[in-house]
This record gives sequence, structure tokens and C-alpha cells, in this order.
Amino acid sequence: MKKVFHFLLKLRRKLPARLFKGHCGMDCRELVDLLVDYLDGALAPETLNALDRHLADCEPCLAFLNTYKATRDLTREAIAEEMPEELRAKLAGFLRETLRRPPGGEG
Amino acid sequence: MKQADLSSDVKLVERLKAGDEAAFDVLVERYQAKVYRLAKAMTQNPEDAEEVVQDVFLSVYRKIQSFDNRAAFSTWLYRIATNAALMKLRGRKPESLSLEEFLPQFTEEGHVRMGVDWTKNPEALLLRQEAREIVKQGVEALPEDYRAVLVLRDIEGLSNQEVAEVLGLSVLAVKGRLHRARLVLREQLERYAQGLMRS
Repeated sequence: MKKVFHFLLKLRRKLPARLFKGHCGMDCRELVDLLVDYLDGALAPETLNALDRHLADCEPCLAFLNTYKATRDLTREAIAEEMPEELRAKLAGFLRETLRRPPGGEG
Repeated sequence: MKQADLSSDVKLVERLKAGDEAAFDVLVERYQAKVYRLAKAMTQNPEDAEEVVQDVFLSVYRKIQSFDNRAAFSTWLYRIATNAALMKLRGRKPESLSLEEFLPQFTEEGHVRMGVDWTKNPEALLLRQEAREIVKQGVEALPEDYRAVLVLRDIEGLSNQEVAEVLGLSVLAVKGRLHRARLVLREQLERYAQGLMRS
């Protein structure tokens, strides 16, 4: 069964994408272009349906979507850094010094 | 200061304009962590981020009279913060990353090229630590305007519309830059995952 599926998938990937657009209404390129709206949950229901139908039998697009979404999550994890506690006190002190003293002390 | 002041930004701005110093403290308390996170994500340097936070709140204090309430206070603040962070980047060597090189590949027939779905990889956890480094370097190599959009959307969680207002862009331009920035990072992770599979 798995073999048959892979054979069909292989066959499909050797044929022009537009031939398959008819059954789901969307090709791979269009799907990739919609990913921002897809992750925002901003797609119209009929577009979302077409996208889901495409994903149901396009393994590369499913892998693309999974990794696109994971990239967004990983980016947040990798570069979102909380403000160190000591910096809060330092900032408060800096602002107090700079703003509430007579001008002249600023460098 | 420990007791949270739940006044709206509009009220606090009004009070600050009228000379109420305590309102400024509340605004600093409310927004310092966001400004720091943005500055650190944009500059990837703790000293620069610290200076950005200081500059931002000095500007807020000094320019509050010119803030006219047409935009939300947070939008105005994010604009000041993004500009301050971008100023820090100006002094650095410009990166020459070619985005085109990292955009998705389609086969001649128009299908998306089959890649590694590293989210399904059993080594995904092992991958994660190194993957973070790849992402950090990738973000640092993005052109500044792409980086700003990515940070405001994916780190700060602003909407497309809010980012458009902060950066003075159309919503369409925001979505385009966000998408390309994510595509570039995704492709860098893909190449890394492919390298792992080969080795």
C-alpha cells in the first residue's frame, strides 16, 4: 500500500503542477505564498479548504508548512530575551539622574 | 510602584503631559521589558540593547508633548524603539546576504521541492540547541528592514496592521517582508538539517 502511494506520488511529481490544481484549486507555489495568512488564521474558508485539500496529498508542501511554522516558533525561542532584573533598577536610576537633575551632567 | 497602576495609556500620557512624573514611571514599568526584548532581538547585543532602552525612554519623556494621540502610544513607542535599534545597526558592517539564494525552490513542473521535515526528526531535541544558533545568525544576517518586521511580528507579536503603522509601510509590504524573512530562516535550517542527515 505504501509502495503504491509512493509510486503515485512520484508520478504526480513528474507531471506539471497545474494538472493537479483542478482537484484542490491550488498549486504548491500558491500555497507557499499563503503561509503568512494561514498561520495568522486569516484565510477565507474556501481558500483554507483548498489549502487543506492540497496538503492532504502533497507531502513536500506538508513538510514545508511544518518547517515554516517551526521556524517561526524557533525564532521566538532563539532570540526573545527577557530584560535582566538588575537592568530595571539601573534604568530607573539612569532616568532619575538624567531627567530630574538640572541639565549639564549629560554626556 | 509595586502596586500595578491599571490606568490606560491615554490617561497616563495625559497625566505625563500635565507634568505628573509618576505617570512616566508607570509607562516605563509597563513597557521596559517589551522595549528591551525588541532592542536585544534587533541588535543581538546586550550593551546596545541597554543603551537603546535608555534612549527610548529619554525620548518618550522629552517628546511626549509632540505625541498627538492619533496613533496608539504603544505604536509611537515601538516606532521610537525600532528607530533607536536601527541606529545602532547603522554603525556596523552591512551584511551582504542575498535573500534570493534562500527562497524556496520549485521543480520544473512547479512542485515544491521535497525537503527534510526536521520537525519529525527523532533528533529534533538535539537539533534544537544548534538550530537556535543558526536562527540567531540568520536573523543577524537579514537586511535591517526585514529584521525589523520579523522582530515586531514574531517576537513582539504585533499584528500586520500595527507593524505597518510602526514602520510606515503598507500591510502588503509587511506581509511580504515577514514571509521572505521566515523563508530565508527556514531554508537555512533546512540546509543545516540536510547536512546533519548526510553526516
